[in-house]
Parts: sequence; structure tokens; C-alpha cells
Amino acid sequence: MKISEKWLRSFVKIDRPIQEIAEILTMRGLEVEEIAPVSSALNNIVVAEILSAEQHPNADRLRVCQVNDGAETFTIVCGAPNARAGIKVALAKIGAILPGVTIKKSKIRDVESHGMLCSVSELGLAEKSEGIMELPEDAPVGTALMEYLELDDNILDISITPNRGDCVSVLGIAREVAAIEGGALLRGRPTGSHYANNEVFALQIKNHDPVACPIYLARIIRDINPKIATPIWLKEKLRRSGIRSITLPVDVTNYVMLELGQPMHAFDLQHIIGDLEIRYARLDERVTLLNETSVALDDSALVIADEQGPVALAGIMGGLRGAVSVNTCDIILECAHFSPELIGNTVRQYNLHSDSSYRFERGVDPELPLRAMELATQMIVDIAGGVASVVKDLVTNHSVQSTILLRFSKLEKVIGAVISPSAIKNCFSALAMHYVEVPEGLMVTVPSYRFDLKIEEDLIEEVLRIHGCDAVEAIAPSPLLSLQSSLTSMVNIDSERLVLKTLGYDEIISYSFVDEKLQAQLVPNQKAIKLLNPISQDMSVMRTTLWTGLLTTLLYNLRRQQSRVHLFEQGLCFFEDGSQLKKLSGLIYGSVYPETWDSSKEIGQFFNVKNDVIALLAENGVVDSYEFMRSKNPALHPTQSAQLVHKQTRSVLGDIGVLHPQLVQSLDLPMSPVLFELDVQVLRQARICREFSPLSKFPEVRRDLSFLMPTDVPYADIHGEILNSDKSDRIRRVTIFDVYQGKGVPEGQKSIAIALIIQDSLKTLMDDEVATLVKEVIDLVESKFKATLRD
Amino acid sequence: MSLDIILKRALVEIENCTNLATLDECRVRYLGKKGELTELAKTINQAPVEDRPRIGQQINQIKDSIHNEIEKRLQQLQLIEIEKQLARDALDITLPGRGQAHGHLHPIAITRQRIESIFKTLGFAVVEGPEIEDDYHNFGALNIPKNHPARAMQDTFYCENNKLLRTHMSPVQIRTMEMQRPPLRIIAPGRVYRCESDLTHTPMFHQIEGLCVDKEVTFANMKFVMQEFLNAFFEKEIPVRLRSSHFPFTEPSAELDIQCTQCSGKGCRICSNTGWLEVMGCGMVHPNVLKAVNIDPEEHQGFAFGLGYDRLTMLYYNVNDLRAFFENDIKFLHQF
Repeated sequence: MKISEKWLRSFVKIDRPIQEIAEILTMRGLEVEEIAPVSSALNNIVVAEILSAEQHPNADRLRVCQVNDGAETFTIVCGAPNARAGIKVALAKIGAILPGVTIKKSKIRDVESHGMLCSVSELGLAEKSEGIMELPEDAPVGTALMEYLELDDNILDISITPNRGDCVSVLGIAREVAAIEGGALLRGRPTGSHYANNEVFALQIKNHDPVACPIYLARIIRDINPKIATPIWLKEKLRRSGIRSITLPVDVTNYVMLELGQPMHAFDLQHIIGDLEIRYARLDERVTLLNETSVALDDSALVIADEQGPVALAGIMGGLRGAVSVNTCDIILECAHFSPELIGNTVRQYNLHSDSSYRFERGVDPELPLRAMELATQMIVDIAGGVASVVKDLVTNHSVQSTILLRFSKLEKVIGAVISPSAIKNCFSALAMHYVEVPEGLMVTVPSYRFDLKIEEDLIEEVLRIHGCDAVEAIAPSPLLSLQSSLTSMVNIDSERLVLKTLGYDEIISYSFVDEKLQAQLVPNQKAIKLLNPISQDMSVMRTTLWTGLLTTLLYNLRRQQSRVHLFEQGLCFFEDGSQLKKLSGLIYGSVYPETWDSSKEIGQFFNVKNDVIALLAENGVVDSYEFMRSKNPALHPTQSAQLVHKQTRSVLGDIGVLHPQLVQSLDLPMSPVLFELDVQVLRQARICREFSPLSKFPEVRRDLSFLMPTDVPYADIHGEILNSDKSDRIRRVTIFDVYQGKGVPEGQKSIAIALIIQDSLKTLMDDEVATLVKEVIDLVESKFKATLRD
Repeated sequence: MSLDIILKRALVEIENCTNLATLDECRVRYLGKKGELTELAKTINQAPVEDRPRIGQQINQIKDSIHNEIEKRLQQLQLIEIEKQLARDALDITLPGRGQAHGHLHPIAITRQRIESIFKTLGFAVVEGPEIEDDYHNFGALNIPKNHPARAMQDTFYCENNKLLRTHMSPVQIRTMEMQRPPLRIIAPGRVYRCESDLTHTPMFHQIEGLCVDKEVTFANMKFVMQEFLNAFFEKEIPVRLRSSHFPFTEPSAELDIQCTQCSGKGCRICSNTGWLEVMGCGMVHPNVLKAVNIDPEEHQGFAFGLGYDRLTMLYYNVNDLRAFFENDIKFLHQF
């Protein structure tokens, strides 16, 4: 909220420098984000009168004016169409510095000009303006403009937290400043009505929901002079708070709202047909609002309506019909109290925000409406005349002032420091809050404007706010000697991340919402959760695989001249059934090793990623628990991909494989990336607590065997068969050291070379024992896999 | 021929050997089975009997001398050979190493790990929770009623399944308290989402929320924990200030500012010339929040805090553009 320092000073005596006040307000929860001067220093600019304005001899559009500043008369050449004799203007004399220009003596089409008549925008007081600024007739000629417009003012931009509806006004901030300065407000609450005359309020008003609208005040003012413009001081005050001047009645209601925090509304009496009622809209009833948008309402929206329908959306915005215009003479002034919940609901339902709704949804002091009504009436009548009627008031059960008990013991228990009773009492005195001493502490009466204070903790916060959070001494908490082990189960997978880092992968963090089209290409048969309000189309659905982000990141880097990219990411994927599963996924693209003088130029393939995935299995002790089955993942190359399946539980850990050639083509990738994706929860559940098995002291023997067999025999079957059939328990390992297809090997056959590592745990093996074992293996492989031993 | 002459000649020849092969030839020539001295020894029986022991002795002495000289020369030549070999082995040790490149962890993830390890030392456990949340856990249980302006503080992403993307880490607080009774000391790091995107906001960012609930956990304790954490994180004493503020789920509430790490409080662009940087919100858990999870606020109380660690990462590494974190340019990632 923007608030003028001068306006503030009219409410409260301020002795400290404004910067210090701002600092204290900030520490007390009213963060002053900026203090900015209203205007740059406008020296040498004075109020002056145009004595005469004549046509420039050499230019159609220019006038030569004689302008008097009370001491001297200057010749000024001016191009504004409204430059005419008799008006008061702002004269920038030679040497004046305006935003962006310094005024010098100059010749304009052969006529010397000794200064400039300024427009509002040239003075830096508005962004746009037409013609020169016309000052009121009573503006004293010769007075510095700075002084006349009170431009030596600052604007405080204060960020108001949602609980402090009471501070969205000059009055509210003045109360906080008074609490700092220790004085009373300069302007108290006015009492009674100055305009309680015999003029009756001629309309009937019916209130259909006194809960949503507990207070509704209305008054008619007739015979306002519509020719009278809003005085410049009023316009200036509005401008400094960021509000545009419209018509006098509207400007006054805005002024009152800014000063007191009470939103008001003015209707043109002539456009109100019949009586008024405060009611809920009928289904599909429409209202065209002041901002010229037409809204279709439903029966949850409270409106002010006349016989023809709604003329205002209660507490939010007036309607176009019934709006005050430049010709309006008779008005109805409305000043009401609406429930914050009601306004909040309507604001969000129709996405309509206004200065009025901003205040109502935060809460407005229920004591304010009458005061505001009187102030507004007084201002309108004083400025533009008119006759005010009595105030029609529809007031229902005024909430009683509440009291809250503050226990000194509770305050000490929460804060962890002793604040003396006298210091606590001083806090409430500073806030002008009444209290009664009771044995446990204080019984505090909450003023009507502090509707945010509801419970004891709220009062503790008030004390802390005034006393200063910063003044509380830090104290170490007593230690909690418990590992809270049950909480640590689903933690981040930092060890796997380190494994991948060591294997050369870079960790990325990509957005959880992804491009719907790309993801649909990767997982065509899976529906993703859509966002109702995405930032953009390429971030519109929740990811169901981390590959979407990884491939997007790959493309991003390829466009930036990278040719070798190794990435991984961990994070949640989101599924239609509501499950949110943590995945760990990676991608390699380009050469396996970074390019250097002596490295292999080998391009990353399925088996490179398989090895990395096995390292992740090893990290969890489950290398032998999983088998690699053919994967049906549609994003992967059908014959160069695998699914990891747990040998016992058959649970699926994830997939690895080369990106499907069609996707490689559609993504316009020069080479094929290899990907993996694992389900972290499944990996963690499979985790095995490792167990030691004793080492044999006796020598190992190695025997190499080479077989010919059909190409479609999976190695894992041979490997498994050999180990499973070994009853002697002497075959420690089976390793494969060559696979060959091609010249010298018949079509449909492959040659594989395996090594058997044989060892006994109790003795050194004899040659014939080894030979027997090897013979058994040869027989087994030959019979099971249609294989033949090669020489 | 005089034995002395043979010896002299042998010594000169040994000396002249420049490699192991010629030296070996030389050895064969004098000491081999058909070598000069071996041949000479064969002629000893032609000498008078009384002279034979003397001559034999002389021959043996010369043989020993030559043998010793050859051994000495052998060692010298071997040394030279090794040095030659070593010279041939010389590498340009400034060439790059060979093998796999080292990968890099994401800077925000490194920060998370650092923060976790600090809080673990202070006895906090790390917890997680879902990112697609329901209204109750993200707002309702946290004392944020429907359509309250406090919701406007956080622009929410909504999903088609009547759920939303969590706007802060506080729902994890609620989920933890639903399952665990005090005493509680937890932190919950993770991704949070708000529907805004500009120079200083990304629609996804990271927060850590902390919660400490026990019988006598105070505001003063909170201040201590915050200060300890920040000192550990920035690896120096870092001045802080606590300002009153408002959050629906804490009462009293405060914002914590640290002295600007860039200008040490003198005022700069980073801190908008205030000398302070707002880094976290904190406060005593609101009694309504405790009641929502069936904890009696008269018996237990505690503090909670939340901080965006993308910002801490920026401050720690001097990163000047928040968006760089999520573009994942590997040239950016390789700096960490």
C-alpha cells in the first residue's frame, strides 16, 4: 500500500526521521519496501497568471503569452490549446530543472520565450496529460509550486500482511506510528452527524442477509454542483496513493477509503429505479460492472439491486448502470460492512479484484461506516454543495467487543524469555489497548479494528512485536536423544547419486510439468495428470517418466554445441491413479568417454548403461537378485532394451535401453541416446543386508571353453544353468570373454567363449577332478542349448 | 707374455666397453672356457714344478681382478641402460588423464545435502511427502481457510483431479504429525510449485521446512537453531535479524533476515540497498495447526520454519540467475 508521509503526519505527530519510523514499522511486521519522494525538486517553478495570450505571428499553433508571477511579467511562447488569459498556471522560469529538461531562454520562431508553462506530465506528476496544468483560481500567484502542491512529500510503500486489514489506511498506519512515537492520534473519532436534518431518505432498502451484510448505511445528497471539479489537493492525495481522479463524488469515496479504510460507493440517484435491496443474484442474472466487463452471476453473489436488477456487486464493484457521471447532481452514498468470507468467495469465483474488495476480504472495522459516511458527506457538501438526507441505517447485531486473557506464564513458556509485567503493560498501552490486571496476567480488551486478535497467542505476538523479536535472546534447545528412526525410511538416495556422479553423469533438476506432446510420444498409452492453469503449453502435464525432462535437457544442450551428454535425475513421477513414485533415471548420448588424446571414441551403447545400472544394483547389494527380460517399453528400441525383474518377487524395477529409432528420428537426434529408469521404492525394498561367506584358502583353477550354438540362446540362461547344475559347489564364477558371429561361424550360430573359475573350499583340486567337472559342464551346455564345443 | 701386460690390456678393454654385449664378449675373451687366461692356465704344467703354485696364484689373482673390474663395469653399464630406458619411457605428464569423466551433482541438490547434514547434527530427521497434495494438507490443516486472502500469497497450480501442487513444504509437517507424536524434530526438503514465472521466480522451486515440537520448545530456541544453521551453512558468523510477520500457521510469526552476504550490510543491488536479505519465515506453531492433528496446544508447543534453498544456493555460489538452475546447461552444471 502506498501512503503519503504528509497525509500520515496529519494524523499523528512524528518526531523521529521517517527512515527510522520505516525501520521500526518493518521490524513490527509492516514491511516498508520503499520510501520514494513524490516529486523531484522542482525549483524555480511558481504559480503564475496568464495576463494575455495572443496568436504567434509566425506559427498557427503557438501563442505568445504574457505571464505574471506576482513580481515580474514574462513573455512565454506556448503551444498548449488551453493557454488563455486569466488562468493560473505553473511557470517554469529560466534555470528550472524539470524531469529531463533544463529551462533556458530561447527563441521560438523569432519570438523570445522566457520560460515554460508546464503540463502535468512535464512536471513529472502524471504519465500523460493534455495541455498545460490549470491551477485553481485561488492559487496564490508567486508561491513556489513545490509549496503550493505540497510536493515535498514521500510515499511509503508498505507491504501489508493479510491479517492486518486494519492497516490498509492512513488511519491504521497512523495508529502503528502512534504506538512507536508514544503519542495519541491528532484526530479522534468524530461524534454524531453534522447533517442530521429533516431531509428524508426517500427509498426503501431491504436487506435479505444480515449475516453477509450486517451494516448498510445509505444517504441521498441532492443538488450537487456537477461543474465543480475535484480540488487539486484531493487529486494530489489520490494520485500519490495510485488512484485516478474520476468525478468528485467518486474521488471523495476513494479519499475516505484511503484515509479511514472504509470502502464506499456512490450511485446516481436518477438512474436507480424503484427501491433498493441487498440480495443474492438470481441464476444467470448479469451485471455490467464499472470496468465494463459483463459478469454472469449465480446465487452465491451478493448484489445491490433496484427494481431492474443489480446495480453493484456488493463490496467489490459498482455497476455501469447507476454509475456517477460528470452530469450527476443527486447521489446515493453507500457505506456498508460485508463479511470477509462472502467477499473472498466472490472475488475468487469471478476473479474480480478492487480496492474495495481488497479491504473487505481482509476485514474492515465495523465501527467505521458512520464515521466514513459523515466524512464523505462533509467533503462533498463543502466542495460542491448539495443537501444531505438523514442516514438510512440497516444495522444488525453489532459484535460485542471481545476480551482475551493473557497469562504471563503462557507468554514466558512460548517465548522462552521473561518479559516483565510492566513491559507487557507498556506494549498494550502503546497500542491503545485497554486491559485489566487479573491474578494470572492481563485481561485485554480488543479494539473493534483489531479483529485479527482472537486468541492468547495473538496477544503474545503483539507483545513480541512491540517488544521486538530481535530482543529475544537465543537459547539452545535441550537435546533430543533419539534417532527417530521410523521417520528416516523414505529419504533421498544420496548414495546412488554419488555412484552416478562417479560414473560420469551430471545431475539435472527439471520441471515436474512437461510438454504433453513429447511425453505422449514416450508413453503413448499412459494418461498424464493435466494442470488446470499451466504456465505454458510445454509445461502443461505432470511427468509420468523422467525421460521427458532428460530428453528435453539433452536437446537443449545439443542446441548449445554439446556432443556428449550424460545426465541423471531423481524425483517423483505422477500417475493417474494418484500414485507418486520416486524414480531415478539417466541418459547417455554420444561417446562413452570424454574426447581426449588417447581415449576410445566408442559411442555409448546398451551395455555401457547396463553396466552403470548394475553399479546401482551393487550399491544396494542386489546384483544377483534381478534378471534382464525383454522390455515392452514403447519408448525403447524393441530389441535393444530390457526390463529389470526381481527373480523371486517378480516386481519390476525399471527399464533400460536404446531410444526407439522412430523417436530418434522424430526428435531429430543425430545419434541414439541410451536411457534407464528405476523405481527407487522398489530398489530400496529389494535392498539386501549383505552377509559374509568365508573365503577358500585353496587355489583357483580356470578352464576356458568355446561353444557354437544358435544365436537366440540368451547368455544368462547358460550362465544360470551352469551354476545351478553344479552339485559339487566348486564352480565359483562363470565369465564370458568372447561372443562372435560372422566369418567362420555358420549362419544362425554364434560362438561364445566362457571361463569356469573352479575352486574347492577344503582342498586343492586334482587335475582329474577338474576335468570331470569341465566334462559335465560341456555335456550340460551341449545338451541344453544345442551347442557344440569348439576345438 | 707377461701377465701384467694381459691385465693392463684387459682393464683398458673393459673400460672401453660401452654396452652390456661388448662387456660380455670381453668377459668371454679373458675368462671364458676358451678365454685367454683359461688357455694360459692350461699351459701351467709346462712350467717348472716349483714355479707352478706361484704362476697359478698369479693367474688366479689376475682372473679375480679382471672379474671384479667386469662386475664393476657391468653395474655401471646397467645403470646407464636403466637411465636410457627411463629416458625412453618419458611421458608428457601434462597431457590429460584417461578414462571416464567425473560427473557433477546439481548445485541445489548439493545445498540440500549440506542443509540436511547440518540439521541431522542438530538431531533433526529428514522426511518427505507427496508433491500433488489435497487442499486440506496444503491449506486447511494449516489454518488457511478457503478464499482467505492468505491463499493469494501463493499462486496455486491446480490439477484436474481436484488436487493441487503443493505450494510449500508445510503439508509434510501435517502428514508427519498425523503419524508421529511429539517430541518431533524434522526437516522436509523438496520441490514446491507456484504459478508464477519471471526474472526472479520459477514456477517450481525448492523449500526446506522444519518443525520442532515438544513440551517446552520456545521462540528463543527457534532463534538459536536458526542462527546455528545459518552460521554452519555460510561457514561464518552471520548477523541475523528477526522481524515480526504473519503466517496463518504460526503465531507469533517472524521473518528472518541475514546480513547481505554480498555487501556485508553496506547496501547493494542484491539487497535493494537495505543491507538485509530475507531468507526464511518462522514462528511458533499455531494452536489451530496442533489441534488439526490432535495435539493438545496446552501440553505441546513448537516452532516451524521454512526457507527457499534455491536462494541460499544462489548466495552461496554467487549465482545471479535463478532460471539457470532449471535450464540444466551442462556448462553450468560442470561448475559445481
